[in-house]
Amino acid sequence: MKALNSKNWQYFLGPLSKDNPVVVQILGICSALAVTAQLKPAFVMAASVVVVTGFANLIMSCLRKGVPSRIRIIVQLVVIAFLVILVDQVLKAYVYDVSKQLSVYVGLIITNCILMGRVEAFALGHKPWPSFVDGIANGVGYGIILLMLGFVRELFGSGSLWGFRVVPEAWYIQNGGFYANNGLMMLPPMALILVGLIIWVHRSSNKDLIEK
Amino acid sequence: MNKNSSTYIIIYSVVMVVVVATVLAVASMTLQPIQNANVELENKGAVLASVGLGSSGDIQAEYDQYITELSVEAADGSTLPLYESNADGKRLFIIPVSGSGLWGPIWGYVSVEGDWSTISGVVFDHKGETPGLGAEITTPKFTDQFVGKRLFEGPQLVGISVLKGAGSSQGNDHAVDAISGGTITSRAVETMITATLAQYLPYIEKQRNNESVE
Repeated sequence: MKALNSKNWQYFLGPLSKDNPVVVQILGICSALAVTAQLKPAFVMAASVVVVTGFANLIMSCLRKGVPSRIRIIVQLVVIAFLVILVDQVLKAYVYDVSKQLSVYVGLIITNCILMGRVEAFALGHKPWPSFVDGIANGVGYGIILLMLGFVRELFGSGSLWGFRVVPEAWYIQNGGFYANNGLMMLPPMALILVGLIIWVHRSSNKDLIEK
Repeated sequence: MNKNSSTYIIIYSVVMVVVVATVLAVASMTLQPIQNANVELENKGAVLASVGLGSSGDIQAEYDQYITELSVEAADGSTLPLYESNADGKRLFIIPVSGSGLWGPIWGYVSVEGDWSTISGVVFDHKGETPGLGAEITTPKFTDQFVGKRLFEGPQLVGISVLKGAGSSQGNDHAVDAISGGTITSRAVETMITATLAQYLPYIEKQRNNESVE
């Protein structure tokens, strides 16, 4: 089997845009609102989710023939929780400062609806490699939205990007300038409004997403 | 074999749980020493940062060179940690503080000068405050405000108040500006400092009296 034949390529491209987990399937909204006040945590969160979705799909797909269907949800949860704990431990050991930034949100990957959704809808019915591709792609699709949110929120909410100042200090009102950060950007409700805007733009540019 | 029979399900789940538990236990035990070393190094870095050191990159070496670990008897008889730093002939005392923020524990180190009142530097850290809001207590923008503020007014412990509104603490020796949108965490910092210092109070008073006698 070719590693990325046209079908697998479709599995990969779909979640990036037309089948995006966040803006089309409306999954994983909760964490997309929570960790995107700044760009860096959003990025590490996205990377962690890519790893977990990819391997959760891979493992569940390998197990799919043996899993008793009556307890499959529990099995999925155990596999996902297992991966998330592993990722958390590795982050703590090797990128300690980043893991501190993410704090509780790494653990909350377990509750990310994208994971259960992809495992249940895809991995249980497909071979390991396509499942892995699908998992990675959904993680990346989620990550793209997180980075977009993190970019806008950090830029307008803190005047910085990745922790580096973008808006000059002298522009601020307290320093005699004309500019003030938008406090609403730092709050989760604004992230929801931004997600809404992204969905709007995304749908208007993809007419086939609009329900009749 | 019937995959939905109770026997199969029970065996399946037992095997799965044992496998997962084993792997996680092994991973946790292997990574534990590295994680502990990270935490310890971070604490040492924080102690150094509170007195304006620790920028060289070799935190362990600097820590060994400048910091002495002391212990203090608290009002209730328990032992409290205290650090003393001696760099460039200047003696500073570093008091570890801890409390609860909005979502979880917050902690930090407050370094005071020989008079036990004037703050020479602070660092704060937190477990899970909101990024961009409460989590801003770790930023220099917040912590730099504490430098030069005084914990005592005469013999009276007053602590540092955290006031709402940018600039509202201007000219006040016992106050700093709160973080907008992070009021609860900012208040928690205020409570944390006062509450922790109250524990050290008997020791500090003794030290201050000795100081004035000399």
